[in-house]
Amino acid sequence: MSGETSKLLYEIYLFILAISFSASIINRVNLPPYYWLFSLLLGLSIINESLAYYLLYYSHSKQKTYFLYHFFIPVYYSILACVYYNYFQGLIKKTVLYSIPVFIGFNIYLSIFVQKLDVVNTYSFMIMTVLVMGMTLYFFYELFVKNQFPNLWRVPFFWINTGNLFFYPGMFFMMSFMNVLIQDNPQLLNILYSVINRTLNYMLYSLFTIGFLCTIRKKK
Amino acid sequence: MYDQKEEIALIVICGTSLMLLLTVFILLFIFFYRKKYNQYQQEITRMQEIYQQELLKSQLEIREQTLHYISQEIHDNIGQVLSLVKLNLNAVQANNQAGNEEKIQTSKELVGKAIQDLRSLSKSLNTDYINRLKLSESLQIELDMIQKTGNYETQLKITGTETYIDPQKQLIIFRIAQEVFNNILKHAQALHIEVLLEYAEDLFVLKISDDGIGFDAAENETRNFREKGTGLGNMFYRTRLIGGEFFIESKVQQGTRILLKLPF
Repeated sequence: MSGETSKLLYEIYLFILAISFSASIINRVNLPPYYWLFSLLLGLSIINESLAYYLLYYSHSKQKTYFLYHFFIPVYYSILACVYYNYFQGLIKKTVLYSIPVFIGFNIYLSIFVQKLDVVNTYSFMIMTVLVMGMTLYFFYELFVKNQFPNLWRVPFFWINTGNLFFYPGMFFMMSFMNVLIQDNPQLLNILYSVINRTLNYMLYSLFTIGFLCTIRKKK
Repeated sequence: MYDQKEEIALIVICGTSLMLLLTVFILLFIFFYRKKYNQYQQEITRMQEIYQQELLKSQLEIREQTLHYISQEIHDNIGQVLSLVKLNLNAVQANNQAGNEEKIQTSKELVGKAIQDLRSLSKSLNTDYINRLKLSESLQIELDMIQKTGNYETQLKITGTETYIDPQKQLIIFRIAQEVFNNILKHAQALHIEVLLEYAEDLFVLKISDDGIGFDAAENETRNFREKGTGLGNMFYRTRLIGGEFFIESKVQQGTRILLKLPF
């Protein structure tokens, strides 16, 4: 895959991310109060991804964006966990809260001793994937048991969790062989990363956008 | 090159399978969610219909009970008084001025009493009074009727501030209390009946106790307390319909106490 195509795919990703961020702001009044955390999450994602984009395509130190994710992943997880913390009730709520410092601790340990700043922190991402998938599946379980919404299409968190449900297993699958491919077959990695990662990103943030906008009411 | 293509194919197959699985999961989830939700809605509709039926039944039972009371009152009380008036008037003689005056005076007093009784009866004839009165007031009327028979001492106590109870629920509670009073009159051989209404912040409790012969509640509970159709079964059933709990405490020769708890 040419650099231009991969750059274009990245730009589309940034555009979708920006739309998602705007949707979270525009429809704020019709969303639960704690959804400002999503705006923060998406705002920080835009900053991080724009920085990565700049480093990849416009700076001299090309391909050296790995260090960004050593900092960004714990921040991303913390904010996402805070959203789930606000949504859940009971024991799971506390579990989600305690998972934040535990994950940050793990991330620091891994970044210092296992996968240093110059490699992709796949282990951190995989741990985050397991944690987010746990919360996502619990959300679906609770949704099914409580069975309180007449129309799932108008439940923002349903869309957001559907996004997570597709994104994280897909990325887990990708991350599991990422560092091996970087060493053995960087060309293949470039193709796979551009296709798989971008497709999953488009899907995740498009579903987030639908989630933010699904509560808009028609004016009579 | 061949290896790379093979690897890509393998990854694409695995990835596609994963996505397909997740899509199937979401679709199945939506399908079963809708199915469960529809079942739940049908159940709610069914429960609402049952609730309305029970409400109507309770209203009819209250009306029946009231009419029964009125017919009894007319027969035992007003009828007797008027018969006495007739006897008095029949005994009036043309040549006994002093005696006549006394009889007419007595007849006047008796007619006055009959009018008063009729007035209070006419109030009872309107069976909607339950909806207009507070629960304590309607229960007090019931207790007064019982007390009037002369066989029972009754007492109504209220703790806390009497707060609003949904009129439909109040009607069912009143009907349950009426049924409890009926049971006491028919079976308990009691001398005292005490009603206690407790209004806590988030709970309403109705306690009705008597000092009658009681019964073995533990034994009865395992048999037919909770079966709908029996008198007690109906009380359990109706309490459950309004979202409350019903308890009976009784032992042989130790009176009976019923408890109805309703969260606000």
